[in-house]
Amino acid sequence: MQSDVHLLFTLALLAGAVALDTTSAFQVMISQPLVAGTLAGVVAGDPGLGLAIGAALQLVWIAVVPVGGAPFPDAAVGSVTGVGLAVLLSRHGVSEGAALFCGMLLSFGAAAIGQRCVSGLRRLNETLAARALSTAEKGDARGVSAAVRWALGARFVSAFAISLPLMAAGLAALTRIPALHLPGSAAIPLWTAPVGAAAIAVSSRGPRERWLMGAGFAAGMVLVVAL
Amino acid sequence: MGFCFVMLPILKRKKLDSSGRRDFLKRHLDFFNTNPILASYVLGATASAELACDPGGEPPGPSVPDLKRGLAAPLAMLGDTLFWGALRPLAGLTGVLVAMEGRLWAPLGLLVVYNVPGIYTRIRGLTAASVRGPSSVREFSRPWFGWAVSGARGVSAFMVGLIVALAVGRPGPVEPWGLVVAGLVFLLSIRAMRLRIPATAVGALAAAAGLAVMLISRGGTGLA
Repeated sequence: MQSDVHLLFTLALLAGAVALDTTSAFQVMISQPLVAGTLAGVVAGDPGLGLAIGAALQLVWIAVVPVGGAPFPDAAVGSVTGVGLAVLLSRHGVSEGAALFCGMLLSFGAAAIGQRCVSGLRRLNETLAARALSTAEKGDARGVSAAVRWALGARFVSAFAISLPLMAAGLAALTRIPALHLPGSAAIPLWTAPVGAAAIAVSSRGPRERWLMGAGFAAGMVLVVAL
Repeated sequence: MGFCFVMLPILKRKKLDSSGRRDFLKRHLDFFNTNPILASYVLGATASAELACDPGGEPPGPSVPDLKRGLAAPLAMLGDTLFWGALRPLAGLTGVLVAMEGRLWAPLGLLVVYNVPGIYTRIRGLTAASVRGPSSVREFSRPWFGWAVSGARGVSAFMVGLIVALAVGRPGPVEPWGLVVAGLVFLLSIRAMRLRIPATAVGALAAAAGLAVMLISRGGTGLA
C-alpha cells in the first residue's frame, strides 16, 4: 500500500492531468466526475469508493456546462480531491459512510475554489495571448506555441496546488473527529439523485421532459417493487 | 490562441515571407470562441480558405476573419445545444445508471456515449468543411438535429427519474422515509436553483444533511 504522502502527490498529479480535459485540451470527458472520480479511486486502491462518489457528483453537476465565459465549478479537481480524501479517511479508520460524505463535501469545496482559480487563469491567458501577439508582430510563431504551453502548465499547476493541500488538511482535521469513526453506512444516491433530477427539471424545455421524468420514476418504482 | 496554435501547420505549408507570417498570425490570434466539437468545421473551412489564398493573401470567397466570425456563433449555438445540453447529460446519466449496478466500467459507458458521436463529428467537420467550406454546416439544418436533441433530452429526463426511484428503493424494500427525503430534497433543490443558488451549493447542503442524518441515526433509520 502506498504511503499517505505518496498517495497525496499521485492524486494531486492526477487532478492536474484531468483538469486539462475540462476546457484546455482534448475535452473527451475524462474530466467528468464519474470518470475522474473512478480514476482517482483506482489510483488510490479503492475503485468502488471512487465510483460511488464520482456517480454522486455526476448527478449534482449533471446540468453544469462550461459554455462561453460563464464560470463553472471545477468538477475534475473536485472529484479527484474528494475521492482522495475519502480513501485516505477510510484508511485511517473513518467509517465508510462518513468518508463518503466528507469526501463529497470536500469535492464541492475544491470545485468552488477551482472555479475562482479558473477566472484567474483566464486573465493569465489574456496576458499570454498579448505576449504571443507581440512576437507575432515580428512574424515569429514560436510565441504562440510557448503561450499555449504556459497556459496548459498553469492549469495543471493550479489544479495540483488546489488538490494537494485540501486533501492533506482534510485528512489531518477529520481523522481527529471521533464521531466519524463510528460505524455508519451512506445511501448517498438518496441525497444526490434528487438534486440531479431538480437540475434536469429546472433546465427542461417544457412539460414533456418533466412528464418523462415522472414516467421514469414510476417505471423505476415498479422495477424496485417487482424485483 | 488555441486556434492559432492549431493553424500553425497551415502556416508552415504556405511558406510566407515575414509580413505574410505576421498577418497570418495576427488573423488567428483574434478573439475566437465556439463549441469545441463543432470548431472542427471552422478549422476545416479556414484551413481550406488559407490554402486557397492568392499571392496577395486574399481567399477566393469571404475573407478569413469574416469566415470565422460567420461560422463561430451559429456553430456555438448548435454545438452547445446538441453536445453540451443534450448528449453530455445523457452520457453522464448512462454512466451513473451503470454505476448504480456497481459496475466499474460505468465511466466507459459515459465516454462511449459522448465520444463516439463527438469524435465522429470532429473528424467529419474537419474533412467536410475543408472540401465544401461553410456550406458543410447546412447538414445541421436537417430534421435529424431537432430529433437528436429532443430525443436525447427526453431519454435523459426519463433516466434521471429512474435513477431517483432506484436510489429510493435500493437496496432493501422501499422505505416511506426514503420517499419523503427524496421528495424534500427534490423540491428544495428546484426552489434553490430557481433562486440561482449554484448546483455546487445545493449539492453540498444535501451532502451535509445526509452526513448529519447518518451521524444522528448511526444507520438506524436506513436514510443514511
